[in-house]
Amino acid sequence: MDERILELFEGITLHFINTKRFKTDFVAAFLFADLNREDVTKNALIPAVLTRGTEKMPTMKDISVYLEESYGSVLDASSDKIGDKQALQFYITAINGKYTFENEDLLSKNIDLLCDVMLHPKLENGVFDAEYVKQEKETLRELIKSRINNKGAYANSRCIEEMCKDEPYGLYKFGYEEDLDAISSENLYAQYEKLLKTSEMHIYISGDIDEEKVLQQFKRHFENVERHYDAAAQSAGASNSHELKTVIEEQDVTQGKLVLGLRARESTLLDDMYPLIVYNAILGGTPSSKLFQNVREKASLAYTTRSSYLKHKNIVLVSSGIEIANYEKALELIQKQLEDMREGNFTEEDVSDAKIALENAYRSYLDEQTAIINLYMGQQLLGNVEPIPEMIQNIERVTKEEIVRVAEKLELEIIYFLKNK
Amino acid sequence: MVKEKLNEKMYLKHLENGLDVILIPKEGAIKNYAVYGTHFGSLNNKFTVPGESVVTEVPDGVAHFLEHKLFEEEDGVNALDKLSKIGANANAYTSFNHTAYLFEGTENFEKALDILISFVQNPYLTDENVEKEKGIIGQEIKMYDDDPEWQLFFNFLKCLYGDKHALTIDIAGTVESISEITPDILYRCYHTFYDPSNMVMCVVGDFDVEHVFDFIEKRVKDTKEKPAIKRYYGEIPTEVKKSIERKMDISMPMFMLGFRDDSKKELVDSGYEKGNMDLIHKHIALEIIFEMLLGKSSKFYEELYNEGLVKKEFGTDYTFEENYAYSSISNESASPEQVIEMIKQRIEELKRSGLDENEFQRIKRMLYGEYVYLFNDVTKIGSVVISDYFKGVNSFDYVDAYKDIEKFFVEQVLQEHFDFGKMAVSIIRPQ
Repeated sequence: MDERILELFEGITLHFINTKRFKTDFVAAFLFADLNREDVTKNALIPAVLTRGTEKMPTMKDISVYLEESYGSVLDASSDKIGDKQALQFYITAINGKYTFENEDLLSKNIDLLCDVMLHPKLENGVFDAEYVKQEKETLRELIKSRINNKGAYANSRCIEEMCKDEPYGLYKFGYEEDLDAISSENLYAQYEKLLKTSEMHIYISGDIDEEKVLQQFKRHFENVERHYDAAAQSAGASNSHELKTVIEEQDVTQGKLVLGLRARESTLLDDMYPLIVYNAILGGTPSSKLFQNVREKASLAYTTRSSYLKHKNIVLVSSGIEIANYEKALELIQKQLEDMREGNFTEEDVSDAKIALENAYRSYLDEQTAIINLYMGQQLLGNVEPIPEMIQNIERVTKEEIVRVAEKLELEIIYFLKNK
Repeated sequence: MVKEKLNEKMYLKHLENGLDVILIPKEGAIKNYAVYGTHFGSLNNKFTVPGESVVTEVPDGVAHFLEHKLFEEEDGVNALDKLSKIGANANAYTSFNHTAYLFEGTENFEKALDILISFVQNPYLTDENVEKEKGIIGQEIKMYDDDPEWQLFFNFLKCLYGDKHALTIDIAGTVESISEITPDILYRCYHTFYDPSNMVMCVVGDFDVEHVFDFIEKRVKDTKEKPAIKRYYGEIPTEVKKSIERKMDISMPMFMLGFRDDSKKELVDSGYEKGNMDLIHKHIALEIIFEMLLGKSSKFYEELYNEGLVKKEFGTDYTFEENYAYSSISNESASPEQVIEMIKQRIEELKRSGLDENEFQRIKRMLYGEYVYLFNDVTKIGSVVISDYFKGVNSFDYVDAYKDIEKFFVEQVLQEHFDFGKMAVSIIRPQ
């Protein structure tokens, strides 16, 4: 595997991951926008409108026919919330030419389509097609409403919403229904132009690729894009200390979802990252973890009980699906696990087990085309790009003392419980 | 037997104890993937043990319960932990017709394979550890009770297969049925279904084939191959129930409709080496039909989307297992009845017009390309190969079948499969 990073234009970076490991070539482009209440809904809508049609392929049907002819190439666009940024994402992937019937070059056609989607959408009177905007607004409305369908994901996102009420990260990643009425083709197009002009962009290309050819192709597509990129305009998310709050919500459910939100105090994102990663693995990231062993295996209180570390916010979420009547009991036992972490009630063996599991997961990234790209993109947002072997070394270096130190910094901010009516 | 497709090779060996071993070496892979599976799923609650004449009936959810308990070890250290400690990420699942134990990892491959074989072959069940699991599985059942897509799917199955067929029993059983489970029941099932002659192992990764065959052969039980277990699935009703509806706390109505395929006969021989190409062809034919009916490039989908009747692509599937088969179409819509009626009309229309040649070729090419994606990583390959194995088909045979399938055959399937007398609808509405 051979990796190369180069700046195409100011604020637009190409990342080549050249490898024969896969049968497919994968291209992913990311635009990082500031996450804020004003733009969140528009930014979530833009990728959906862009994939409806380009100048050359003006309808969804045109694009679909092209993708089918190109051996089931997949084009997708969406937006996600990563830390205090909103990442607009555009993907295209296809099998490598050598697996096609007549050795066809799908990659270069696909790059053209991806760039057309991002840069040359179908327009009407110089702005987005009004019909497309209208339809995609309704689709987004349903997507926002469908948040309640998956109860586990709902509980986690509600917990974060309550915990980060005064921060960008507290916003719902797909935006708000009440914003939709005021969105027009004109103001949406203006927001799109602003993003193209000012956002930091990263494009990742993974596969068996001719780098020079791909580089020239992207150059041609992007050379006429007007840019006013200001690297200094990156926001940093900080939060004040919070009182512990408890939020109880009711829905028509049979299982309760208990989510605890903790945040590392007086901690910069990068300094404590590796100790927190190991902390999270010991607390609830593996089958040997404290939560799995004590809440599930010993006390039989849950089937799902785990923790996750949101490294872009220094937040740890502890989520469990429990019998509603067992709320007190489960809460007490989970808090006992947190206390044990703070007091160093775990062994050197627990630390080394967690490291082994993490290192295995890191090495596995290399075998998954999308996983490695998402990992690098996440690192980019943290301002800390490092290859897998370095990550493994950093995990190796974490000591028990450091884990206890970050455990002490973690403060429980919220207890969220979704229960029956 | 060796099969080669897309620069990947599959080696199959049938051991003397009856175990099928499938090895797929993948040069340069960082991860290894291994799965050990038994032909024992939620469907198998009634059976005759080889050599016995009585019929044994067990509580619903036993196969899944056993899956949870096999990780338990006599030395008190859970096998999941043992694997985790050496960097192998282990898991297990139970489906309607099989249970599988698997791991993936980047190091300590042989140690992990040794642990996998050992824990699956050595059950350790006590009153205490069985009792303890009931609370955990109870929460797993409740998680699915709150999952609208799972409820939609199960109600759909109930329409097609009534309440006497084992297919409509929830995979994990119910809180009541699992309360009856004891170590004795689990051991009896274990000794019946976890015999090598009822099992398969598949390993994918960068390794030496002969060495791994040898490694496995030395560790699996040295028993005589046994005759097949007689399985009873319960009656399939002549008529399907037209529809089931219920309400849940969701945002928009969800629907699933589909057709029971009564032409599927019980697989007598797994036919893995012979190929069962007829099953593969039918599966591909239905995939093509679904795309042409309501796929993303169809005029039909475009109209529905533009009118706001659907907001995303249809989910479509053709499921064929040991003795049953059905197709399904699902989506969400504010007006499910209207969309279902339109789908029915669309099917009639396509039956009358037949398939457009250009479109047919395009869809074939697309499905072929999508299939190649599977061969990207060891986990995908291993998990597809194992579930195809239990259907009696070989995943590698799909590659050529996607190229070779003919239009007249697909049109024949179109005429036969979509029998409105065998159609059922499941709907979940918001409260």
